[in-house]
Amino acid sequence: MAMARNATALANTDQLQQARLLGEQVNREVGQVILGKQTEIELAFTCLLAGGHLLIEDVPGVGKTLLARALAAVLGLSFRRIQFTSDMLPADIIGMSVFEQEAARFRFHPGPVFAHIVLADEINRSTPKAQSALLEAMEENQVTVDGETHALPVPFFVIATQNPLHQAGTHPLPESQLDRFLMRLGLGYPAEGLERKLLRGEDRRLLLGELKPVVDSAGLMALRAAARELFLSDALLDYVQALVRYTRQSALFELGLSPRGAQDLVMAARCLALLHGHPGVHPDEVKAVFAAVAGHRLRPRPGSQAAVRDPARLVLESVPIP
Amino acid sequence: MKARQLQGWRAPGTQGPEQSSVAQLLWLLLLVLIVSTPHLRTLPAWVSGIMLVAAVWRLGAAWNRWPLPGRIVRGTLTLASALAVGFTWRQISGLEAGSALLVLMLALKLLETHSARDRALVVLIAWFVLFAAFLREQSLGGVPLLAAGVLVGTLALLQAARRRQAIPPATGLLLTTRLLAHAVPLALALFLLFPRLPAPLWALPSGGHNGRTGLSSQMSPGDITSLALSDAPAFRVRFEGPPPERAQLYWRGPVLESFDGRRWRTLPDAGRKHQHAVPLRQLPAGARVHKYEIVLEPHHQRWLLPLETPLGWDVADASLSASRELLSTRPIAARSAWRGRSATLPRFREARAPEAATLAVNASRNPRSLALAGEMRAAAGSDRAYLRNILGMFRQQAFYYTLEPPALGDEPVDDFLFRTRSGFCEHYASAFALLARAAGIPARVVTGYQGGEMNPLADYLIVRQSDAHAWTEVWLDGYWERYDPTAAVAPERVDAGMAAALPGSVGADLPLLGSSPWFGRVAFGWDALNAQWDRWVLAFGPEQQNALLGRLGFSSPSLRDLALVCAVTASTILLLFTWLTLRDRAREQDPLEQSWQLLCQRLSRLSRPRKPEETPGEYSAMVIAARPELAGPLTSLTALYLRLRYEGVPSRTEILRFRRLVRQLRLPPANARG
Repeated sequence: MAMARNATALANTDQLQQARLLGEQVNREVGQVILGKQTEIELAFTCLLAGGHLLIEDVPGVGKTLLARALAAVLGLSFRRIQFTSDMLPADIIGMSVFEQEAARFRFHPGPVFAHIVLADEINRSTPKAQSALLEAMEENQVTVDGETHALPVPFFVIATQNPLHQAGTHPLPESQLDRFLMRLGLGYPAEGLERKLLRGEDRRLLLGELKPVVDSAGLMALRAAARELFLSDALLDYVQALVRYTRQSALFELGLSPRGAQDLVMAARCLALLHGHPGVHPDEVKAVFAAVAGHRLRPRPGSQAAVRDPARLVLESVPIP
Repeated sequence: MKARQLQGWRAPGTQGPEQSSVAQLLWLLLLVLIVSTPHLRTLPAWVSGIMLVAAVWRLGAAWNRWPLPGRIVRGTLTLASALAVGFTWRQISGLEAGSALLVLMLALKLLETHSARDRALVVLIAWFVLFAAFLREQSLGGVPLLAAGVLVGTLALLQAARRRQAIPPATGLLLTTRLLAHAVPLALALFLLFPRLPAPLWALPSGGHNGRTGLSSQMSPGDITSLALSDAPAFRVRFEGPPPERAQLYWRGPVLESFDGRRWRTLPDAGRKHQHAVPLRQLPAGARVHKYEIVLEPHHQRWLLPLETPLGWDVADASLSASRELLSTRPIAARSAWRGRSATLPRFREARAPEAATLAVNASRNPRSLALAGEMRAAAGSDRAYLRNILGMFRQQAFYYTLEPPALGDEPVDDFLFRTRSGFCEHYASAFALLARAAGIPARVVTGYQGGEMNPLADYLIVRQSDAHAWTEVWLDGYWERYDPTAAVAPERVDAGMAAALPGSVGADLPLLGSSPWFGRVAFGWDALNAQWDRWVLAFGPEQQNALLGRLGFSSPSLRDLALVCAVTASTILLLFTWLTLRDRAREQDPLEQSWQLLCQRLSRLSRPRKPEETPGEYSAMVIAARPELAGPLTSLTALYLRLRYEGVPSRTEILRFRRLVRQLRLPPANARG
């Protein structure tokens, strides 16, 4: 079994090479627009490739929208942005049926959610009702209006942003909803030198127009299929299980990683390994995606070390590589 | 797996002072309780009191932070305990005093259990106390406590060495059981093969065992007013072939030939003309010969108690005394087994004339009995008729069999024959022998056991202390003939046993025999188990060892051969375990992993050891950052390792290649910084 898989993996050396080149290309292109965030760009692309959704938690103005637009541009995908407000209704997101006088029938007008990449800006400003409309669409990859089901485009990728600071009139996503995001990232402020470059240089938004698509959606889906075929050694699965077990058994956490969390961790690591051009997943890739995949799913026990320090880092430092 | 369970285990004494956890203490206390139980049953109450105080004090210190005694208090307590032992027993060695001292020191050691070393010491002392219990109790009944002590002791030792939290009890028990199971083959080999010496290296101090059993070298029936019945086993017998009838089961013990009118005594061989008798050579036609094996309980006397009349025995240094007592040279101090051959004969030929003592009558005592003897002998006409008449008198006149006879005065036989007329075997045997002697017939009293009880669950006979008996032998026409006057008064005693001979109320006093049949069955089952234990474990001596080795092909091995066989077997077992352990470890770590560990180990000298959570890529990047000159070979080696380990199933040649590359890697000396 393992040998057979190994053979397929080796047979696709060309594909691996292509994937590695593509990953580098995306990093380079997007990196022109967003300076100094190579890790985040790579993780965001990995998340997209894995078919998961991304939650960016950061203060306004650090380039969340720019990242989403840049990704859409280099991947040749359609892009829509939804600004969430407190008076928003589900129909404002998914669309509604409108009666057409001439045809004398109802016609579905798709909402902004019908795009490959959807930026749900400040998702915590809207009511849970509007939030759940989007989250349902994320989960099902389709929306249902008046009994009619409308498939969303493939690939479908949501980047939601939320302000981490508690502000009046916001509704932070509960844990059960957080679990639906494959990754959570923070962008953070640019480094001093890069910020200077940013201040001196032209408006980055103008650069967006110069970005050329490097892959189409069909190529993206082929890569996703290739990622599923990557080799997983027993040693690596031992490591993943040790990590998961630690989050469940350690006294640091009230809530450990769910089985879905563990699956997401492996899938994200596969995609990152593919972008690195590896025929199998290395522990480095698990470590690289762990904080983004697990960080928002762990609930530290109040008063424990994990409540103060970065919990994902604590886990990685406590679990030996088998 | 094994290594993981033992993580956190540290050799005792390798760590600084630290407090014992409550769980560790509770295990120690449980151990102390188990090992001291066999001793505390016989030691005075103040010993238990001191133990209780020490245990409560230590627990209070652990739970409520009571202060533990300082050095001066501990020293005073130790000295006081030793003095108390000295005053109580007038010595501080010997079984009782020694075990009391040991138990007290164990209790006091509890008061200074701070470090892992202290805790380990408590466990070791506890084991010593446990082994000392062997000096008191070797029966099967003591085995569960002993096993519990070994189990809890091992577990407590594991716990004692723990640094932080205790092992959970279930895990600890499992681990202990596995550890002990590993020791079983070695223990078995040493038990079977360790050279057994024919005589013990040391003698057990016999604290007051003498005369406790039914055997004695003297008897004076008049002094006994109540005979306590004990159902403790005296010995067990296994017959080859069908056993004789119950009425023929006379187990010959001390033969009492000297009589002063009140007290019967044995006549020592010293000072006799003939010091030894020889076993019978010619048997009368129709005599049945029985072969049997006897397992004697220790009675601290020399009598081997053969079935009458002994023909042969396998005890090398045993001899037949002039009065045909089968004697070993040493007192029977431990449970021991021997095989013998006997013929059940009512009389046997004795070529030598009886000693003069067997005719001696103290003329100043028992005058009425002597007079009665004269009258009866004259009336009877012959010796045989005379003796028959005496038995008839016992049978027909108002003589009673009882275990609680009235006390007899200065003329015991007169008192018995003419006043009280009730007594047990000793009374009848004594009176009968005197009457015979008074008529000029040599006579003596033989004591021993009569009867026994077949264990229905196993094929052997139990003879108990309550089967102790006394009968007479008279010398007629060159034969010693057995006369059992008790049988004339209470034939059931001989035909069915003591319980049958007594009225119901007295019979119920026999602890086991008189109770319900179900209980009797359980008692017999337990006795059968005990007998197996004795036969196969306790009685395993030089003969059995030789027999076993003989079956393995070593006939009559010398002590040196035995030591050699023992050493070779033990080393083989140890080597086997070592090999199994090493093989397990090698299997746990595949060669690829081993080579990688080797690489990390070599690199650690250049920078620092790999942290367990560091990935291969992270570690090699760190090393390269510190020693850039290694970038080339290290990058390719790490990439190769990652490929083999994480990117598919590696072939054996690839793994060997990686190993070769790791070994061939040239590293700069640690101090030369590039």
